[in-house]
Amino acid sequence: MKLGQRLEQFREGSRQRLGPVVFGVYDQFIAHLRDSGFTDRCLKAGDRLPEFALPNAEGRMITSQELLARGPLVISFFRGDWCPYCSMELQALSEILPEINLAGATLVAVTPDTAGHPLRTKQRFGLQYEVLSDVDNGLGLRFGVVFLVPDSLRTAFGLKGIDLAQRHSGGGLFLPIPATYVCDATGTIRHADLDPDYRRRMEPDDLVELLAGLRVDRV
Amino acid sequence: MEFHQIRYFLALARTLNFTRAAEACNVTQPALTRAIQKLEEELGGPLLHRERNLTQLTELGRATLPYLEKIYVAAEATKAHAASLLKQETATIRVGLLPSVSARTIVQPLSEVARRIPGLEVQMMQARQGDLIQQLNEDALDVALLADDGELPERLNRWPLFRERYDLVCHADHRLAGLAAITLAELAAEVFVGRQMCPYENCLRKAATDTGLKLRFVHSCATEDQIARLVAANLGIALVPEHLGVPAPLVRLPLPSPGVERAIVVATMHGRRHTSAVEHFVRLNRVHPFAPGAKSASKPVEHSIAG
Repeated sequence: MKLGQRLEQFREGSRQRLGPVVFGVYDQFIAHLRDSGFTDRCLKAGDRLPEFALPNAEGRMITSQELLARGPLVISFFRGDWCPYCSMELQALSEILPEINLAGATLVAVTPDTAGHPLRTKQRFGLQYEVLSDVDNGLGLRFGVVFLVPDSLRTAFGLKGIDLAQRHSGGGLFLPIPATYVCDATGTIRHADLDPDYRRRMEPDDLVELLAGLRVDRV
Repeated sequence: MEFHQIRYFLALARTLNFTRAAEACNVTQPALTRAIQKLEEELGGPLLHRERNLTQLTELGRATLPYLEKIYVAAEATKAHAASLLKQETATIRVGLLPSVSARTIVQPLSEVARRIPGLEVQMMQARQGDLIQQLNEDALDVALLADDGELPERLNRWPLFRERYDLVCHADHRLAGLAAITLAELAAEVFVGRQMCPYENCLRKAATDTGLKLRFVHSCATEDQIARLVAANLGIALVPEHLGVPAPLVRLPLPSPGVERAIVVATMHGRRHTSAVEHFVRLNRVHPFAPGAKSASKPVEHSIAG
Protein backbone atom coordinates (compact mmCIF):
# COMPACT_ATOMS: atom_id res chain seq x y z
CA MET A 1 0.00 0.00 0.00
CA LYS A 2 1.24 3.48 -0.86
CA LEU A 3 2.28 5.77 1.99
CA GLY A 4 -0.43 8.23 0.94
CA GLN A 5 -3.11 5.56 1.40
CA ARG A 6 -1.73 4.50 4.78
CA LEU A 7 -1.68 8.12 5.96
CA GLU A 8 -5.20 8.64 4.68
CA GLN A 9 -6.45 5.57 6.54
CA PHE A 10 -4.83 6.72 9.74
CA ARG A 11 -6.21 10.19 9.30
CA GLU A 12 -9.76 8.88 8.93
CA GLY A 13 -9.37 6.74 12.05
CA SER A 14 -7.99 9.73 13.89
CA ARG A 15 -10.87 11.93 12.73
CA GLN A 16 -13.31 9.47 14.27
CA ARG A 17 -11.28 8.96 17.45
CA LEU A 18 -10.66 12.63 18.17
CA GLY A 19 -14.07 13.94 17.15
CA PRO A 20 -14.85 17.10 15.19
CA VAL A 21 -13.78 19.61 17.87
CA VAL A 22 -10.17 18.46 18.35
CA PHE A 23 -9.75 17.50 14.71
CA GLY A 24 -11.12 20.91 13.80
CA VAL A 25 -8.31 22.60 15.74
CA TYR A 26 -5.76 20.91 13.47
CA ASP A 27 -7.79 21.61 10.32
CA GLN A 28 -8.17 25.29 11.21
CA PHE A 29 -4.48 25.76 11.78
CA ILE A 30 -3.53 24.04 8.51
CA ALA A 31 -6.00 26.32 6.69
CA HIS A 32 -4.41 29.34 8.40
CA LEU A 33 -0.93 28.35 7.20
CA ARG A 34 -2.26 27.80 3.68
CA ASP A 35 -4.10 31.13 3.61
CA SER A 36 -1.07 33.05 4.85
CA GLY A 37 0.95 31.74 1.88
CA PHE A 38 3.36 29.92 4.19
CA THR A 39 4.95 27.65 1.59
CA ASP A 40 5.52 30.58 -0.83
CA ARG A 41 8.23 31.74 1.55
CA CYS A 42 10.04 28.40 1.91
CA LEU A 43 13.16 27.50 -0.10
CA LYS A 44 12.28 26.00 -3.48
CA ALA A 45 13.73 24.30 -6.54
CA GLY A 46 16.52 26.45 -7.90
CA ASP A 47 17.56 27.83 -4.48
CA ARG A 48 20.90 26.95 -2.91
CA LEU A 49 21.01 24.51 -0.03
CA PRO A 50 21.99 26.46 3.13
CA GLU A 51 25.29 25.21 4.56
CA PHE A 52 24.91 23.55 7.91
CA ALA A 53 26.57 21.54 10.65
CA LEU A 54 24.22 19.63 12.94
CA PRO A 55 24.68 16.91 15.56
CA ASN A 56 23.42 13.47 14.59
CA ALA A 57 21.58 11.03 16.86
CA GLU A 58 24.86 9.44 18.00
CA GLY A 59 26.44 12.75 19.00
CA ARG A 60 28.66 13.46 15.99
CA MET A 61 28.69 16.66 13.95
CA ILE A 62 27.57 16.22 10.35
CA THR A 63 28.13 18.96 7.75
CA SER A 64 26.22 19.59 4.54
CA GLN A 65 29.49 19.74 2.65
CA GLU A 66 30.44 16.20 3.65
CA LEU A 67 26.96 14.95 2.78
CA LEU A 68 27.02 16.59 -0.66
CA ALA A 69 30.48 15.14 -1.36
CA ARG A 70 28.73 11.76 -1.58
CA GLY A 71 26.25 12.92 -4.25
CA PRO A 72 22.63 14.10 -4.26
CA LEU A 73 21.07 14.72 -0.87
CA VAL A 74 17.53 14.15 0.37
CA ILE A 75 16.57 16.15 3.46
CA SER A 76 13.35 15.20 5.15
CA PHE A 77 12.16 17.55 7.88
CA PHE A 78 9.96 15.79 10.41
CA ARG A 79 8.39 16.88 13.70
CA GLY A 80 9.35 13.98 15.93
CA ASP A 81 8.43 10.34 16.50
CA TRP A 82 5.60 11.51 18.78
CA CYS A 83 3.78 12.27 15.52
CA PRO A 84 2.24 9.11 14.03
CA TYR A 85 2.38 10.54 10.49
CA CYS A 86 6.10 11.28 10.89
CA SER A 87 6.64 7.77 12.23
CA MET A 88 4.91 6.27 9.19
CA GLU A 89 6.97 8.41 6.86
CA LEU A 90 10.26 7.56 8.59
CA GLN A 91 9.51 3.86 8.19
CA ALA A 92 8.42 4.27 4.58
CA LEU A 93 11.69 6.08 3.84
CA SER A 94 13.54 3.25 5.54
CA GLU A 95 11.90 0.79 3.13
CA ILE A 96 13.19 2.65 0.07
CA LEU A 97 16.66 3.40 1.50
CA PRO A 98 18.37 0.79 -0.73
CA GLU A 99 16.84 2.46 -3.79
CA ILE A 100 17.92 5.92 -2.60
CA ASN A 101 21.47 4.68 -2.10
CA LEU A 102 21.42 2.85 -5.43
CA ALA A 103 20.68 6.21 -7.05
CA GLY A 104 23.90 7.46 -5.42
CA ALA A 105 21.97 9.70 -3.03
CA THR A 106 22.11 10.17 0.74
CA LEU A 107 19.03 10.53 2.94
CA VAL A 108 18.98 12.50 6.19
CA ALA A 109 15.97 13.13 8.40
CA VAL A 110 15.98 16.37 10.42
CA THR A 111 13.99 16.97 13.60
CA PRO A 112 13.97 19.69 16.28
CA ASP A 113 13.97 16.90 18.89
CA THR A 114 16.95 16.77 21.29
CA ALA A 115 17.63 15.11 24.66
CA GLY A 116 18.26 11.61 23.33
CA HIS A 117 15.02 11.50 21.30
CA PRO A 118 16.75 11.32 17.87
CA LEU A 119 18.66 8.21 18.96
CA ARG A 120 15.52 6.63 20.42
CA THR A 121 13.69 7.36 17.15
CA LYS A 122 16.45 5.64 15.16
CA GLN A 123 16.44 2.62 17.43
CA ARG A 124 12.65 2.40 17.59
CA PHE A 125 12.31 2.07 13.82
CA GLY A 126 15.73 0.53 13.11
CA LEU A 127 16.61 3.44 10.81
CA GLN A 128 19.85 3.04 8.87
CA TYR A 129 20.00 6.66 7.75
CA GLU A 130 21.16 9.74 9.67
CA VAL A 131 18.71 11.48 11.99
CA LEU A 132 20.02 15.01 12.59
CA SER A 133 18.94 17.23 15.44
CA ASP A 134 18.07 20.75 14.32
CA VAL A 135 18.73 22.27 17.73
CA ASP A 136 16.44 25.31 18.26
CA ASN A 137 15.09 24.95 14.69
CA GLY A 138 17.93 27.01 13.20
CA LEU A 139 18.16 25.08 9.93
CA GLY A 140 14.38 24.94 9.66
CA LEU A 141 14.26 28.73 9.81
CA ARG A 142 16.85 28.98 7.03
CA PHE A 143 14.62 26.78 4.87
CA GLY A 144 11.59 28.82 5.97
CA VAL A 145 9.71 25.68 7.03
CA VAL A 146 9.32 26.58 10.72
CA PHE A 147 6.09 27.90 12.21
CA LEU A 148 5.03 29.13 15.64
CA VAL A 149 2.90 26.46 17.31
CA PRO A 150 -0.27 28.27 18.44
CA ASP A 151 -1.68 27.84 21.94
CA SER A 152 -4.59 25.77 20.61
CA LEU A 153 -2.19 23.20 19.17
CA ARG A 154 0.09 23.21 22.20
CA THR A 155 -2.93 22.49 24.37
CA ALA A 156 -3.94 19.62 22.08
CA PHE A 157 -0.39 18.20 22.22
CA GLY A 158 -0.31 18.61 25.99
CA LEU A 159 -3.50 16.56 26.33
CA LYS A 160 -1.73 13.75 24.49
CA GLY A 161 1.25 14.02 26.83
CA ILE A 162 3.56 15.55 24.21
CA ASP A 163 5.93 17.97 25.91
CA LEU A 164 7.69 19.91 23.16
CA ALA A 165 9.68 22.00 25.66
CA GLN A 166 11.25 18.82 27.05
CA ARG A 167 11.81 17.29 23.62
CA HIS A 168 13.45 20.46 22.31
CA SER A 169 15.32 21.07 25.61
CA GLY A 170 13.87 24.54 26.02
CA GLY A 171 11.36 26.62 24.12
CA GLY A 172 9.23 24.13 22.22
CA LEU A 173 7.36 26.97 20.53
CA PHE A 174 8.29 26.08 16.96
CA LEU A 175 7.92 23.10 14.66
CA PRO A 176 8.76 22.50 11.02
CA ILE A 177 6.10 21.62 8.49
CA PRO A 178 7.05 18.22 7.11
CA ALA A 179 9.11 18.95 4.01
CA THR A 180 11.22 16.88 1.64
CA TYR A 181 14.05 18.56 -0.24
CA VAL A 182 16.11 16.95 -2.97
CA CYS A 183 19.45 18.63 -3.78
CA ASP A 184 21.87 17.71 -6.49
CA ALA A 185 25.54 17.21 -5.67
CA THR A 186 26.31 20.85 -6.44
CA GLY A 187 24.03 21.95 -3.60
CA THR A 188 21.19 23.24 -5.76
CA ILE A 189 17.70 22.34 -4.60
CA ARG A 190 16.05 20.39 -7.41
CA HIS A 191 12.77 19.58 -5.74
CA ALA A 192 10.85 20.78 -2.70
CA ASP A 193 7.83 18.88 -1.45
CA LEU A 194 6.00 21.20 0.95
CA ASP A 195 2.59 20.91 2.50
CA PRO A 196 1.33 22.73 5.60
CA ASP A 197 -0.89 19.66 6.13
CA TYR A 198 1.33 17.46 8.29
CA ARG A 199 -0.87 14.48 7.38
CA ARG A 200 0.38 14.47 3.80
CA ARG A 201 3.91 13.42 2.84
CA MET A 202 5.89 12.94 -0.32
CA GLU A 203 5.25 9.52 -1.82
CA PRO A 204 8.49 7.46 -1.49
CA ASP A 205 8.03 6.05 -5.02
CA ASP A 206 7.99 9.61 -6.39
CA LEU A 207 11.21 10.32 -4.53
CA VAL A 208 12.92 7.30 -6.07
CA GLU A 209 11.72 8.33 -9.52
CA LEU A 210 12.99 11.86 -8.99
CA LEU A 211 16.42 10.62 -7.91
CA ALA A 212 16.58 8.36 -10.98
CA GLY A 213 15.89 11.48 -13.06
CA LEU A 214 18.83 13.27 -11.39
CA ARG A 215 21.04 10.33 -12.27
CA VAL A 216 19.99 10.51 -15.91
CA ASP A 217 20.78 14.25 -15.88
CA ARG A 218 24.29 13.50 -14.71
CA VAL A 219 24.99 10.93 -17.43
CA MET B 1 8.72 32.05 8.87
CA GLU B 2 11.67 33.58 7.12
CA PHE B 3 15.10 34.40 8.45
CA HIS B 4 14.95 38.05 7.32
CA GLN B 5 11.47 38.57 8.81
CA ILE B 6 12.84 37.63 12.20
CA ARG B 7 15.91 39.83 11.66
CA TYR B 8 13.65 42.81 10.90
CA PHE B 9 11.45 42.12 13.90
CA LEU B 10 14.44 41.87 16.24
CA ALA B 11 15.75 45.21 14.95
CA LEU B 12 12.32 46.72 15.48
CA ALA B 13 12.06 45.32 19.00
CA ARG B 14 15.45 46.89 19.74
CA THR B 15 14.81 50.33 18.23
CA LEU B 16 10.98 50.57 18.52
CA ASN B 17 11.22 52.73 15.43
CA PHE B 18 10.41 51.62 11.85
CA THR B 19 12.82 54.09 10.22
CA ARG B 20 15.76 53.21 12.41
CA ALA B 21 15.05 49.47 12.17
CA ALA B 22 14.98 49.69 8.36
CA GLU B 23 18.29 51.55 8.42
CA ALA B 24 19.83 48.98 10.74
CA CYS B 25 18.73 46.18 8.41
CA ASN B 26 19.75 48.07 5.29
CA VAL B 27 16.30 47.84 3.67
CA THR B 28 13.62 50.37 2.75
CA GLN B 29 10.99 51.08 5.35
CA PRO B 30 8.10 49.80 3.18
CA ALA B 31 9.97 46.52 2.65
CA LEU B 32 10.48 46.17 6.39
CA THR B 33 6.85 47.05 7.10
CA ARG B 34 5.59 44.48 4.57
CA ALA B 35 7.81 41.74 6.01
CA ILE B 36 6.58 42.48 9.54
CA GLN B 37 2.95 42.44 8.35
CA LYS B 38 3.49 39.02 6.75
CA LEU B 39 5.06 37.75 9.95
CA GLU B 40 2.15 39.07 12.00
CA GLU B 41 -0.30 37.40 9.64
CA GLU B 42 1.48 34.10 10.10
CA LEU B 43 1.84 34.40 13.86
CA GLY B 44 -1.84 35.25 14.10
CA GLY B 45 -1.77 38.75 15.61
CA PRO B 46 0.04 42.09 15.77
CA LEU B 47 3.52 42.08 17.28
CA LEU B 48 3.59 45.88 17.68
CA HIS B 49 1.22 48.67 18.64
CA ARG B 50 1.75 51.32 15.99
CA GLU B 51 0.95 54.73 17.34
CA ARG B 52 2.03 58.02 15.86
CA ASN B 53 4.97 58.73 18.12
CA LEU B 54 5.17 55.51 19.97
CA THR B 55 5.85 51.99 18.80
CA GLN B 56 5.45 49.33 21.50
CA LEU B 57 5.56 45.56 21.53
CA THR B 58 2.19 43.89 22.01
CA GLU B 59 1.78 41.07 24.47
CA LEU B 60 2.30 38.58 21.62
CA GLY B 61 5.40 40.52 20.58
CA ARG B 62 6.82 40.45 24.09
CA ALA B 63 5.94 36.80 24.63
CA THR B 64 7.52 35.56 21.40
CA LEU B 65 10.56 37.87 21.39
CA PRO B 66 12.92 35.65 23.44
CA TYR B 67 11.97 32.61 21.35
CA LEU B 68 12.43 34.47 18.07
CA GLU B 69 15.83 35.65 19.32
CA LYS B 70 16.79 32.10 20.09
CA ILE B 71 15.72 30.65 16.74
CA TYR B 72 17.46 33.53 14.94
CA VAL B 73 20.72 32.85 16.77
CA ALA B 74 20.35 29.15 15.98
CA ALA B 75 19.83 29.87 12.28
CA GLU B 76 22.90 32.09 12.18
CA ALA B 77 24.81 29.42 14.04
CA THR B 78 24.04 26.57 11.61
CA LYS B 79 25.83 28.56 8.92
CA ALA B 80 28.73 29.86 11.03
CA HIS B 81 29.30 26.40 12.49
CA ALA B 82 29.58 24.78 9.10
CA ALA B 83 32.13 27.39 8.04
CA SER B 84 34.14 27.07 11.28
CA LEU B 85 34.42 23.29 10.94
CA LEU B 86 35.75 23.66 7.42
CA LYS B 87 38.31 26.24 8.48
CA GLN B 88 39.55 23.97 11.28
CA GLU B 89 40.18 26.95 13.51
CA THR B 90 41.88 26.64 16.86
CA ALA B 91 39.61 27.13 19.81
CA THR B 92 39.44 26.86 23.57
CA ILE B 93 36.66 25.48 25.71
CA ARG B 94 36.80 26.50 29.36
CA VAL B 95 34.46 24.17 31.16
CA GLY B 96 33.69 24.07 34.87
CA LEU B 97 32.48 21.05 36.83
CA LEU B 98 31.21 20.57 40.36
CA PRO B 99 33.39 18.35 42.56
CA SER B 100 30.56 15.78 42.52
CA VAL B 101 30.36 15.63 38.70
CA SER B 102 32.73 13.36 36.84
CA ALA B 103 34.48 14.53 33.67
CA ARG B 104 33.08 11.29 32.21
CA THR B 105 29.76 13.14 31.72
CA ILE B 106 31.25 15.38 29.02
CA VAL B 107 34.11 13.46 27.41
CA GLN B 108 32.04 12.19 24.48
CA PRO B 109 30.97 15.68 23.28
CA LEU B 110 34.47 17.02 24.00
CA SER B 111 36.12 14.32 21.93
CA GLU B 112 33.70 14.99 19.06
CA VAL B 113 34.55 18.72 19.11
CA ALA B 114 38.27 17.81 19.24
CA ARG B 115 37.80 15.48 16.26
CA ARG B 116 36.31 18.35 14.25
CA ILE B 117 38.60 21.07 15.57
CA PRO B 118 42.03 19.46 15.95
CA GLY B 119 43.49 22.68 17.43
CA LEU B 120 41.06 22.48 20.36
CA GLU B 121 42.33 23.33 23.84
CA VAL B 122 40.26 22.18 26.79
CA GLN B 123 40.61 23.96 30.12
CA MET B 124 38.73 22.12 32.81
CA MET B 125 38.07 23.62 36.19
CA GLN B 126 36.49 22.29 39.33
CA ALA B 127 34.70 24.48 41.84
CA ARG B 128 31.57 24.72 43.92
CA GLN B 129 28.33 25.89 42.36
CA GLY B 130 28.55 29.52 43.56
CA ASP B 131 32.12 29.87 42.32
CA LEU B 132 31.28 28.32 38.95
CA ILE B 133 28.43 30.80 38.50
CA GLN B 134 30.73 33.65 39.42
CA GLN B 135 33.35 32.47 36.92
CA LEU B 136 30.72 32.25 34.18
CA ASN B 137 29.69 35.76 35.12
CA GLU B 138 33.26 37.08 34.96
CA ASP B 139 33.93 35.32 31.64
CA ALA B 140 36.52 33.09 33.28
CA LEU B 141 34.47 30.10 32.10
CA ASP B 142 32.56 29.48 28.86
CA VAL B 143 30.34 26.72 30.09
CA ALA B 144 29.63 24.84 33.31
CA LEU B 145 27.69 21.84 34.47
CA LEU B 146 25.53 22.95 37.37
CA ALA B 147 22.95 21.38 39.63
CA ASP B 148 19.54 22.92 38.97
CA ASP B 149 18.59 23.71 42.54
CA GLY B 150 15.81 26.08 41.46
CA GLU B 151 17.97 29.08 42.33
CA LEU B 152 20.12 29.46 39.23
CA PRO B 153 20.35 33.13 38.18
CA GLU B 154 18.09 34.13 35.30
CA ARG B 155 21.03 35.43 33.26
CA LEU B 156 22.23 31.85 32.76
CA ASN B 157 21.12 29.87 29.73
CA ARG B 158 20.64 26.33 30.89
CA TRP B 159 19.64 23.04 29.26
CA PRO B 160 18.84 19.84 31.14
CA LEU B 161 21.56 17.24 30.81
CA PHE B 162 20.54 14.40 33.08
CA ARG B 163 18.71 13.55 36.29
CA GLU B 164 20.16 11.18 38.81
CA ARG B 165 19.49 9.81 42.24
CA TYR B 166 21.83 9.79 45.20
CA ASP B 167 22.78 6.46 46.75
CA LEU B 168 24.35 5.55 50.04
CA VAL B 169 27.90 4.29 50.01
CA CYS B 170 29.58 2.27 52.73
CA HIS B 171 32.33 -0.31 53.24
CA ALA B 172 31.37 -3.82 52.06
CA ASP B 173 31.89 -5.04 55.64
CA HIS B 174 29.63 -2.38 57.11
CA ARG B 175 26.53 -3.64 58.93
CA LEU B 176 24.23 -1.67 56.57
CA ALA B 177 25.55 -3.68 53.61
CA GLY B 178 23.88 -6.76 55.05
CA LEU B 179 20.43 -5.24 55.53
CA ALA B 180 17.53 -6.01 53.21
CA ALA B 181 16.19 -2.47 53.44
CA ILE B 182 17.55 0.67 55.02
CA THR B 183 15.34 3.00 57.02
CA LEU B 184 15.94 6.54 58.21
CA ALA B 185 16.11 5.14 61.76
CA GLU B 186 19.03 2.92 60.71
CA LEU B 187 20.77 5.96 59.22
CA ALA B 188 20.26 7.95 62.42
CA ALA B 189 22.46 5.40 64.19
CA GLU B 190 25.36 6.02 61.78
CA VAL B 191 28.16 8.53 61.35
CA PHE B 192 28.19 10.33 57.99
CA VAL B 193 31.12 11.55 55.95
CA GLY B 194 29.80 14.85 54.61
CA ARG B 195 30.46 16.79 51.43
CA GLN B 196 31.08 20.50 52.00
CA MET B 197 28.19 22.74 50.89
CA CYS B 198 26.09 19.79 49.65
CA PRO B 199 22.39 20.73 49.41
CA TYR B 200 21.39 17.07 48.91
CA GLU B 201 22.69 16.08 52.33
CA ASN B 202 20.35 18.72 53.69
CA CYS B 203 17.43 17.06 51.87
CA LEU B 204 18.18 13.80 53.64
CA ARG B 205 18.77 15.59 56.93
CA LYS B 206 15.39 17.31 56.59
CA ALA B 207 13.61 14.04 55.76
CA ALA B 208 15.05 12.65 59.00
CA THR B 209 14.20 15.76 61.06
CA ASP B 210 10.59 15.57 59.80
CA THR B 211 10.30 12.16 61.43
CA GLY B 212 11.99 13.30 64.64
CA LEU B 213 15.39 11.80 63.81
CA LYS B 214 18.79 13.43 63.63
CA LEU B 215 21.49 12.46 61.16
CA ARG B 216 25.07 12.95 62.24
CA PHE B 217 27.29 14.45 59.56
CA VAL B 218 30.47 14.28 61.61
CA HIS B 219 33.25 14.42 59.01
CA SER B 220 33.53 16.92 56.23
CA CYS B 221 35.35 16.51 52.89
CA ALA B 222 36.06 18.75 49.91
CA THR B 223 36.51 16.13 47.19
CA GLU B 224 34.97 12.82 46.12
CA ASP B 225 38.33 11.11 46.58
CA GLN B 226 38.51 12.25 50.21
CA ILE B 227 34.99 10.92 50.82
CA ALA B 228 35.82 7.56 49.23
CA ARG B 229 39.00 7.26 51.32
CA LEU B 230 37.25 7.98 54.61
CA VAL B 231 34.37 5.60 53.81
CA ALA B 232 36.87 2.90 52.77
CA ALA B 233 38.64 3.41 56.10
CA ASN B 234 35.26 2.79 57.78
CA LEU B 235 35.06 6.26 59.31
CA GLY B 236 31.45 6.53 58.21
CA ILE B 237 28.94 6.27 55.38
CA ALA B 238 28.23 8.87 52.70
CA LEU B 239 25.95 9.90 49.85
CA VAL B 240 27.13 9.42 46.29
CA PRO B 241 25.58 10.57 43.00
CA GLU B 242 24.38 7.77 40.73
CA HIS B 243 26.83 8.46 37.89
CA LEU B 244 29.99 8.33 40.02
CA GLY B 245 31.85 5.04 40.15
CA VAL B 246 32.21 3.37 43.54
CA PRO B 247 35.55 1.55 43.88
CA ALA B 248 35.95 -1.65 45.94
CA PRO B 249 35.75 -2.18 48.87
CA LEU B 250 32.87 0.30 48.83
CA VAL B 251 29.32 -0.71 48.00
CA ARG B 252 26.32 1.28 46.86
CA LEU B 253 22.95 0.99 48.66
CA PRO B 254 19.59 2.61 47.92
CA LEU B 255 18.44 5.47 50.14
CA PRO B 256 15.16 5.09 52.02
CA SER B 257 12.14 6.23 49.99
CA PRO B 258 11.50 8.86 48.59
CA GLY B 259 15.26 9.23 48.13
CA VAL B 260 17.19 12.22 46.89
CA GLU B 261 17.49 13.33 43.26
CA ARG B 262 19.23 16.12 41.40
CA ALA B 263 19.12 17.55 37.88
CA ILE B 264 22.35 18.52 36.14
CA VAL B 265 22.18 21.23 33.50
CA VAL B 266 24.72 22.61 31.06
CA ALA B 267 24.86 26.40 31.44
CA THR B 268 26.34 29.40 29.65
CA MET B 269 26.03 33.11 30.21
CA HIS B 270 23.10 34.67 28.34
CA GLY B 271 24.01 37.18 25.65
CA ARG B 272 27.69 36.28 25.50
CA ARG B 273 29.18 35.45 22.11
CA HIS B 274 30.75 32.03 22.20
CA THR B 275 33.19 30.37 19.85
CA SER B 276 31.85 27.69 17.55
CA ALA B 277 33.68 25.12 19.64
CA VAL B 278 31.64 26.09 22.71
CA GLU B 279 28.40 26.19 20.71
CA HIS B 280 29.09 22.75 19.21
CA PHE B 281 29.88 21.42 22.67
CA VAL B 282 26.59 22.69 24.13
CA ARG B 283 24.57 21.38 21.18
CA LEU B 284 26.18 17.95 21.32
CA ASN B 285 25.36 17.81 25.03
CA ARG B 286 21.76 18.77 24.36
CA VAL B 287 21.20 16.22 21.61
CA HIS B 288 22.88 13.19 23.09
CA PRO B 289 22.96 13.79 26.81
CA PHE B 290 24.86 11.65 29.25
CA ALA B 291 22.89 8.80 30.81
CA PRO B 292 23.95 8.39 34.46
CA GLY B 293 22.84 4.76 34.67
CA ALA B 294 24.78 3.68 31.55
CA LYS B 295 27.61 1.21 31.96
CA SER B 296 30.98 2.90 32.10
CA ALA B 297 34.49 1.66 31.31
CA SER B 298 35.39 1.69 35.00
CA LYS B 299 32.58 -0.46 36.25
CA PRO B 300 31.24 0.64 39.58
CA VAL B 301 30.89 -2.15 42.11
CA GLU B 302 27.17 -2.77 42.33
CA HIS B 303 25.62 -4.23 45.38
CA SER B 304 22.39 -6.09 45.08
CA ILE B 305 20.15 -6.24 48.06
CA ALA B 306 18.26 -9.42 48.72
CA GLY B 307 14.51 -9.11 49.15
